Amino acid sequence: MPPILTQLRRCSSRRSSVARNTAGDSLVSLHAVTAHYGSTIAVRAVDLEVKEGEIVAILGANGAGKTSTLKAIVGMIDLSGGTVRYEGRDITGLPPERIVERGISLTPEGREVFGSLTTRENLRVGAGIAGQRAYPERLEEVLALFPVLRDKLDVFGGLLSGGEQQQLAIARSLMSDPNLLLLDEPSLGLAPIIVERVFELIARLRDRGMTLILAEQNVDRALQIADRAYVFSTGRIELEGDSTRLRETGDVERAFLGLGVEDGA
Amino acid sequence: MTEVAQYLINWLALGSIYALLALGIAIVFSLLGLINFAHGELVTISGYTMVMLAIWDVPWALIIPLSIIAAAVAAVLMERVAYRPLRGAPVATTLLGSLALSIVIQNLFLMFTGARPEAIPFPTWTQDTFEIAGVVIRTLDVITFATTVLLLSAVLVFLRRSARGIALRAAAENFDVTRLMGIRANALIRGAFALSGLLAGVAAFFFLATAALVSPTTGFVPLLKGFIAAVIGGLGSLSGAVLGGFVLAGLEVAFQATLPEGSAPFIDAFVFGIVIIVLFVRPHGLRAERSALVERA
Repeated sequence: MPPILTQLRRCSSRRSSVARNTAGDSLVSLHAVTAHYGSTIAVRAVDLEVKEGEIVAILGANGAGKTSTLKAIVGMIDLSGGTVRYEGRDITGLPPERIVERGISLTPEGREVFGSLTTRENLRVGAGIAGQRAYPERLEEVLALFPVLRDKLDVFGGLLSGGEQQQLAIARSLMSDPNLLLLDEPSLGLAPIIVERVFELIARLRDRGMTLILAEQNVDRALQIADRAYVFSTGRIELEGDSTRLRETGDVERAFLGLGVEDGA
Repeated sequence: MTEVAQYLINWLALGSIYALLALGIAIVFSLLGLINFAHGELVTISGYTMVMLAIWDVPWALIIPLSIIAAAVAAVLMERVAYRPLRGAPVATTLLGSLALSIVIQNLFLMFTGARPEAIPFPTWTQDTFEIAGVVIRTLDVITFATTVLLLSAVLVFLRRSARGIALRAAAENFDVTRLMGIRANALIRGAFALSGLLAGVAAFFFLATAALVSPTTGFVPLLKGFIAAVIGGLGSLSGAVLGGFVLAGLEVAFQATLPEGSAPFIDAFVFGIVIIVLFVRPHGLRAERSALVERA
């Protein structure tokens, strides 16, 4: 068994024991979270919960509040109300770097790979200053998950293809050894075959015990892989539930368009 | 021939000083999009530190490192006291804040030391010259260039090899995403200011050694030259700043060599004329490859 497997197993058993000490086994929860961009409201009164080992999809059209919700979790936007709890502790208002240290990592929308840094340097920054001792070991583990990157280690991030950049962006997020990974539109702008590869990777991460939140516009693909989903429209949660059930009913499309759902799903 | 060699050495020494100043300005700008107009005051602070320590009979072997440290500490303090509260403010606000900081520091020196320039009792070796094949060379010019080459190499190694250096480059490209890597914004910015101050402190020694005087307004010329050099190179590009320093010094020395005697007061006008032409042809400077910065600015 490669080291990352044992490590992740260990991680997940440690985490569940932590979680058991707190109420339920929720890893991250948002309560009544509201945030603004200037005077425009981005998300309003969002209640959201993600449990250990789950993949939770956040669905919605452009501007529905998916990115803002993820940014609220990692402290990239100031909240005008509500709280974010992680592993039972209140992390509301902490700066992003502190939240990352606690084990949450965000792969931002549009990949945001450092174009003027090589693949290797991108991954090294991903390990943070505190993670430099563990960097060589983590680099090997991450390269085992993303073999494509091994041949590109000395290539500048800006010169990689879209698919390679997306893999680098996810790999970079994993360098901080997170318990919870947030992926913001990982399939955006990628060729269908590459999208498949990205979703395969997400499944593998889940199999290794990682908890994931996946913001996506690719509803079908996201519902296939996720355990549960929240559907956002104009900054509000319109619908939530198990993926299988959401796929069976036609409610997602209605919620997606902000038309509301009749029978209070 | 000997005259050409003479000008060449002048160029390398002057270019070194400008490059150090420009690099310091560019490091801060690349990270924060902030032009530190008080950068020249770091030279002034170094100068007064030298005066004060010399009065206390501290040996120059200590004065030099202490004056450099003073500039680095001053730069970190500027960030903490003046720039951190302005973080995230509109560009016009930080620009005015930076200008205000420069004026406040100048006036503090005016209040406490007076407007009269103070002599800095530089050690005599700074005035030494030696002769090779009929070319008279100032020892200090050689030291200036050699130190700059060493220091720039060290900065390059730092930026390419160390985790903090790589993080600094990452942050220059995308500050928010760098924070997402668990890199602490405040530590990063503090480090950038410290490095910028250190470079200014080294530049201060070589810059001040020529006139051996310091006054509250000493910082104006180093700021102007460093800023223009950084703009020529493409604000925010670090290699561009170094290049810009040598280009600016090259223009100055070339005009000194070719314009008739008595035109000295007008050299800057000629130099800036050329700079305007350069910017007309390349509005973002010689090495403005960082699209991310252009977007932010």
